[in-house]
Amino acid sequence: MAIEEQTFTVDAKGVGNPDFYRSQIPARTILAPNQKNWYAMYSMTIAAGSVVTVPCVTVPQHSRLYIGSGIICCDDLLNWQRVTWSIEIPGVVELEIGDVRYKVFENVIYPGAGVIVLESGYILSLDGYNLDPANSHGFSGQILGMMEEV
Amino acid sequence: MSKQEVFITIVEGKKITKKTIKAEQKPIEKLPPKVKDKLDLVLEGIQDLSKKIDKLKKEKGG
Repeated sequence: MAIEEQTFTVDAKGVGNPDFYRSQIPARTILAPNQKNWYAMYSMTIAAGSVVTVPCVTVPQHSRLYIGSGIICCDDLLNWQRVTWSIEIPGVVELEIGDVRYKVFENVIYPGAGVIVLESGYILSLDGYNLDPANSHGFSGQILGMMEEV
Repeated sequence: MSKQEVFITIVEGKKITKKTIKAEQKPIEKLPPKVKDKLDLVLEGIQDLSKKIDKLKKEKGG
């Protein structure tokens, strides 16, 4: 059976959209109106045998931050590197909640019920280590999460 | 102790914030123990187990 050639007329409103845009939505957000995707990236050079403490985020008033995952990478191809992350509840406690050794790249995921929840005023910080005793290296860290107004 | 530049990009919904801060940098006081490759750890575990088995065999006279 021959397949008939079909032609589509796309009106001005549809230009730039998939031809089926009127009936199909390729991606639909699952976030509520009081929620927003939250991504952060931190890039730095760390001197040989040094550690840099990066204050990543202080959760604003009337907000809550959910951390789903983090990524760390560096340009050192030889040495194991290390990153730790901590949550500070001002006036209460500072708690180290993660410590990862990696070569070049690591991805830490907090799925489902394990997601990290930071309330208003909480501070998340990273300690990036350069364990190469001789050379400085470039590092990049990313945090993926969701900010919610409460 | 010195300061190190950190380049930060934060995306919240449609809002993008880019900034540079100075973060505290200091020498690592004590290096953590050298991390062994996972395969090395597995091999060490197997060797330990082999030694224990050999020891048990000798004790039982086998």
